[in-house]
Amino acid sequence: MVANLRGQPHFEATALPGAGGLARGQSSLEALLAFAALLCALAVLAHAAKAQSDAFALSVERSDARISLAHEALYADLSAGMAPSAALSRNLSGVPVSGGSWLASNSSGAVREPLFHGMSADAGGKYYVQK
Amino acid sequence: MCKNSARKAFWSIDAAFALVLAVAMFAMFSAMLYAAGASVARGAEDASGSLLSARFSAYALQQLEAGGAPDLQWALGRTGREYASVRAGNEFAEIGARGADIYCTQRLMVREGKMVKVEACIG
Repeated sequence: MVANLRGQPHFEATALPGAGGLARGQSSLEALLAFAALLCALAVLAHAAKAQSDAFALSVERSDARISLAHEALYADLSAGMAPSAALSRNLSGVPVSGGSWLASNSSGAVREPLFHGMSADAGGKYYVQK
Repeated sequence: MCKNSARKAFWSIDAAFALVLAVAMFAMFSAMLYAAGASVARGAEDASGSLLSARFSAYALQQLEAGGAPDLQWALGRTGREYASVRAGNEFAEIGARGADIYCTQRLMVREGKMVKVEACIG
């Protein structure tokens, strides 16, 4: 409030003190909330991407195990009745299960390949394929 | 005031565009990962099925050479599959429901002095 030339009080036509700061604060808060929402959305997307990457890695690992196991099962069936060879007693990625009628992967337990010839293992870890 | 509105509109469009880009890129990334995973799994399944049919044909050949016939019921029970068939010359035997994924292996054998084509399928 100021006095004019006639000495009468005069009110300036301005906004209330602090109103500009309040508006700026509100804008800042809105910007902050919008930024937080954007960060949340990005975090959700990143989390979903991580889950999908993990699923993809698991799929690749299982596929790799399946291909290895299929080749080993082929080798085992073709060498049925032979003496246990070094190749059959080493570097196998699976173990015989279900009485030797299936070969199960060591790395992925769900991956199994059937065998037409029964496979058994001795105490030394060598595998025999029955004729 | 006009400048303020323009600034607000600019930021709204910018943020919305960034969000759309992020979602679109994520959707593309997701689709690419899904396709790659499905392709790898399909390749492994094909390799496994092909090698299984090769082993099944070896079993069938072994049985035919011994003068018998391959036991298809036993083969299905052994492998956990749903369909198996063996064709040796004009003779044909099958068991189970023929699905979409059938893997076949063709081999030749000498039977009664003649060359015979043997086809073993499993799926």
